[in-house]
Amino acid sequence: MNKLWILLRVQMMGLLGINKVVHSNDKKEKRKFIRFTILMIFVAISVLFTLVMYDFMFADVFSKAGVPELMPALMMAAASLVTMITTVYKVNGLLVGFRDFDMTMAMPVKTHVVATSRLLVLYIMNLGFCLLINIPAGIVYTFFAVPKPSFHAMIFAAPPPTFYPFMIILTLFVPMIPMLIGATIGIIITAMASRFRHANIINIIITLMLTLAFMTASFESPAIFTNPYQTSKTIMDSVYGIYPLTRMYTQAVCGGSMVSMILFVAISAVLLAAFSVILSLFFKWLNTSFTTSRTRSNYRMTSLRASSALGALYKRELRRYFSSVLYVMNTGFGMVMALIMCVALLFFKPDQLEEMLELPGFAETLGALPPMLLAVFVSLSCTTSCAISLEGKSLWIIKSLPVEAIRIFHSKILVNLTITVPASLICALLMSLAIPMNAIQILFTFVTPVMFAVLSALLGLFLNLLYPNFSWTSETTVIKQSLPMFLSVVGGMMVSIGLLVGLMYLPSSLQTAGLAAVTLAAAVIDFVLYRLLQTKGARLFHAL
Amino acid sequence: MLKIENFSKSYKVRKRAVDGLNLTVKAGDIFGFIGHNGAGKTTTIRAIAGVLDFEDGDIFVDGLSIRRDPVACKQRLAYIPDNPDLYDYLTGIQYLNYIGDVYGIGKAEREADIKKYADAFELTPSLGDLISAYSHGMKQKLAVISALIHHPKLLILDEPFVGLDPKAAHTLKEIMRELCSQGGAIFFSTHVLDVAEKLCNKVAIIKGGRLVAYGNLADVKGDQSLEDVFMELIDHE
Repeated sequence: MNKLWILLRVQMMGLLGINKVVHSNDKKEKRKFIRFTILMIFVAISVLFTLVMYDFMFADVFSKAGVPELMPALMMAAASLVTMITTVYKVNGLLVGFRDFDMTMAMPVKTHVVATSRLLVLYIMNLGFCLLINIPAGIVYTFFAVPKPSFHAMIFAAPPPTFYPFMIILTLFVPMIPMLIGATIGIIITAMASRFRHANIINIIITLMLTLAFMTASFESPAIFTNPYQTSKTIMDSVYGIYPLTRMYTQAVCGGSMVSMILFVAISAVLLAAFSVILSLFFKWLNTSFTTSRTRSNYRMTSLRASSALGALYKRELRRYFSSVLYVMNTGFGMVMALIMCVALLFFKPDQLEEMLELPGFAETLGALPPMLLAVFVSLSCTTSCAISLEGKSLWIIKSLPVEAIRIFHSKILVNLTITVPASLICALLMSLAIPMNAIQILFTFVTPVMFAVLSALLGLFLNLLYPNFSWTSETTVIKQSLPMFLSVVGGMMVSIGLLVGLMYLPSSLQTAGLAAVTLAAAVIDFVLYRLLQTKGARLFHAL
Repeated sequence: MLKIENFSKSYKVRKRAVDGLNLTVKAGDIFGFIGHNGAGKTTTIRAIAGVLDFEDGDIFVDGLSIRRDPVACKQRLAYIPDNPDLYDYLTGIQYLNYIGDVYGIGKAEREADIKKYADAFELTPSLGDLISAYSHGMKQKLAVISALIHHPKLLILDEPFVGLDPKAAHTLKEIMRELCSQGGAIFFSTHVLDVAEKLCNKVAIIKGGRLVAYGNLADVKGDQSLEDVFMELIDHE
């Protein structure tokens, strides 16, 4: 137990970066950490606020349909789904193929302790999600748990007295089963992919297909808002059918059933313990057979293909991008979603969309929206915000090359634009076929997202130069949990969504002018950021 | 070929990792840079290679300042760190071709040199494999080949013999001598004093960021062995 705690503590120190700050004499580093913490609190509050809004929306619908308990059940199912999907991505790097495997396994610690410590880190990471989703959902539920929703009901007429203790206890167990399902899928994907020479590409394709399948299944939910009374029952049945533990959760938390509560805890704990044992048995094998590169050792010198310096830097950067499943999934998925959405649009007429979304007059305002909608997806696909940090311990190579910093920046920006621009142009073409637009609107549908793509790439790179991290042991740290990534993706998304909503509220006659202003502003910011990269960016790069 | 003038570097405000370093490496020199752990060897080497930014003093490569003209300096030198972390997602040949492209080496010349050095280090059969599958020694060999294919005038090596098998170490020493006989220069750090004694014509000993001995090998060691001189300087200076 003591050794488990030691291993867990070291991993958590690396994950959160607190230790580095506590023991660092660098004031700059400390200031950066404080800024990061403040921003993370702001992000958490924003996410919490959005979730509570959703909770109220769902609870209102379900309460009117007479099934208020469906709201916490649905949120618990959502938390489980998020846990499962994110675990699939995290397996490679956390459970298998982690950097300090050799060092950790050489220590006088039993294999099952090492495996359990890795599993616990995964659990702690997922528990955060579950707490953030489940607890507010439970609190909002108490507001609606009576026929006449009120704050009074939250305190005096709340559900069973066991509600809060049961909810808190069960939330601790909610991530366990989805986590082990996700881990199993992740291990299978890694195993399958390792059989092929281009393992990462296979891994990316399988993970992408799987995520799309989950997304398609969850697209059913908008039906709740269009016809809550008929669909609530159907949704309840399907959620309970797909994941029976949701029913147990509802019975325990909302119904106060001790039997369901014990069953939930027992099933989750036993399955996780069993998984932990199985994982321990195969831990060494998993980490050596799937992650060991196959060698042919039969190379013969052949003719080489020469490129320009920029071409070489770009090709290397592109290979880096596709070498990481997590990197591709985290930054490329937005554009895949945009493409799917645009293809789907071809099958709907604008008036059908208006009817489906129950937004009268929506079709008339539609013309000015595609450019900003694409800009939202483009903002989700920022690869540059971790491109510098991902150099990691190989940073010395680009720093010792006889090329100017800006050329290195170009290669990183070009990779980002390779991911966003072609997809964005295809989307623009599909949208201009699906949605009635005038010539100017079509022009903006092509131009505006490209301006935002450049903006996102430049901003991401500048932020990463300001906040680099080269001491990571798992790519997850810089790809998913870094300040530049948060700032560029969350900030970019908030700005583009804000502009999208702003344009929607403008009178139709002013929308095109508004769009022109936004596009021009984006172009000006692009120019300023590029100049900034040439000067301050280059200085920051030399100081790395 | 290499001139270091009053070079200082501080990581923290109070302590200087390197303090007022001055030295010169001429064409044809094999210069050994010796010091114990934390003495300032790697800091100096990284600054020469243009990897580490610094504010005090200057470093000149072939007469050009690394601070004012870093790209031209880097074109003339090659650097191999003590633990060459290369790109795991590239194959050996992809990495060498990448270096060839960035340094603008002609196709025919590049192919001939890769073959020459890869054969010398017995790495040719493995060039098609991913670098992630390489052992530490193989990575070291690949880094050395990548440094040699662009014909540097100045070769900067940080502990080059760590991880190399005896045959590869011998090959590297031969190549170092060949490069210097052709007018190049080598500046390398080492803990292995025997190697320095056999290979170098000049040495410098650094302690706490300051030079404590510097000059021709024969002048520095006198009648003693280099190890004795080193121990004496480190213990008593």
